[in-house]
Amino acid sequence: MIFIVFASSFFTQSDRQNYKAIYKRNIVLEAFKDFFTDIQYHSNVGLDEEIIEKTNMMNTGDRYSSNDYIIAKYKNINFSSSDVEIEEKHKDSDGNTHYTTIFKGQWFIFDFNKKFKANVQIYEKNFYGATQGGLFSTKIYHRIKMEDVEFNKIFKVYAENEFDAFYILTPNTMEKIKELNRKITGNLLFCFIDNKMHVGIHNDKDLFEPNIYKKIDLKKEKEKILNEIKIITEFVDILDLDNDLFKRSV
Amino acid sequence: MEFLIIIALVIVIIAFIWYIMISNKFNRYIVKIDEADSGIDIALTKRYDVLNKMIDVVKSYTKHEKETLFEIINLRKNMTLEEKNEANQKISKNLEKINLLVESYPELKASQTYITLQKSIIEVEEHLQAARRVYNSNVSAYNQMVVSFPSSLIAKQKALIKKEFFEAEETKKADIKINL
Repeated sequence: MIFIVFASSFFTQSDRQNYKAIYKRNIVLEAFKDFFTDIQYHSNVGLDEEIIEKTNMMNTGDRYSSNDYIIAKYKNINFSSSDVEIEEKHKDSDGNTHYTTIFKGQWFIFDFNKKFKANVQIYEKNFYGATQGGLFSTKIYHRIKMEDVEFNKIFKVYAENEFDAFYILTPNTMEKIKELNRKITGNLLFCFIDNKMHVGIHNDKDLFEPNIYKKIDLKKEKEKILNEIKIITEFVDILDLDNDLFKRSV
Repeated sequence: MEFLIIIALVIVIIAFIWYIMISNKFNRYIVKIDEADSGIDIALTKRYDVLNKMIDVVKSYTKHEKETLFEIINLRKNMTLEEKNEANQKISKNLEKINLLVESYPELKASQTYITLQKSIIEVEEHLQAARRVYNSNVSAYNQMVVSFPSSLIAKQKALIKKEFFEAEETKKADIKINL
């Protein structure tokens, strides 16, 4: 830990990387162990681009990067999570290339506790990177209006069939998604595909990163990490993903 | 004069296109309502099947004759919405009876078969609720078109009338929760 404090005063690229690696191994991973089981944490590896492409939620742009890949279990629910950044290349009138962000934030994949056939997508309305129900997809998505007026004001729902949208989005689940939306900063995206729940949080943040220019206050740092871990645990806790009542049938 | 004829023609063409669009919208809703109605039939049949399996399990434990203990339900094709509602309510009453009965048989309550069947009934009830909500949401949109001007003009011309909703039972309005 003393080494970490001292390390913050070095600024070469290689030292920065070493410092981050030590920080993630000694502080972040240790914090994970208090909440999760079966942890695999790869700070330099990320989620495959194809996984996000398959959801048809957004155009995966021209530049894709991802790191802090976690695979673990919380309350016996499998999940994976990663920081993701997707950018699109543009050329201005002078011929200069620049990149605009389509998505920057976290992407989570949770085991979902209901079996369904069709894909269902939920976008927060002010997320502008959406492909509007899979514009680039071969699948046909229909815009679905739910009966919850407040939910319809915040989110847009697309689904391959109406029934699965209503099956997944019960009145109770819609209330819980609204609750998560109030708690979480950033645009929320959900995709229900292959009996998994994908969640994207477009918040322009890179989680579990140390501030290398500041001396570390371990207590504050742990609090910060706990708050970031809470984002993961709240999806399972609030949406009751560990309730397996719907998984088994005769 | 020529100008007026052109304006009149444009108005007629616009009215015709509008008529086609609204007619198609009505047709789409009718198809969607029929599909949702079939969804209700499927979910109702599943619920009925699981209920019968539960009755058989209960009977094997309690030695009660199912005919005397439970209300007889007849599911058949082309039932009206009222009949479906009625059948659904009977299924619910029978399930309530089962829930009361198993309280006196802890062995039955703890059996894996019963627990699996309880989970199945919850799952099919979720399916039924989803089918009901799809049906009602389409009926609501359709009814709004039937009564709202100017689409009400086409509804009248086509003799379309408001459709009934598939009512939710009080106990099913909240999401299903059960303690096993």
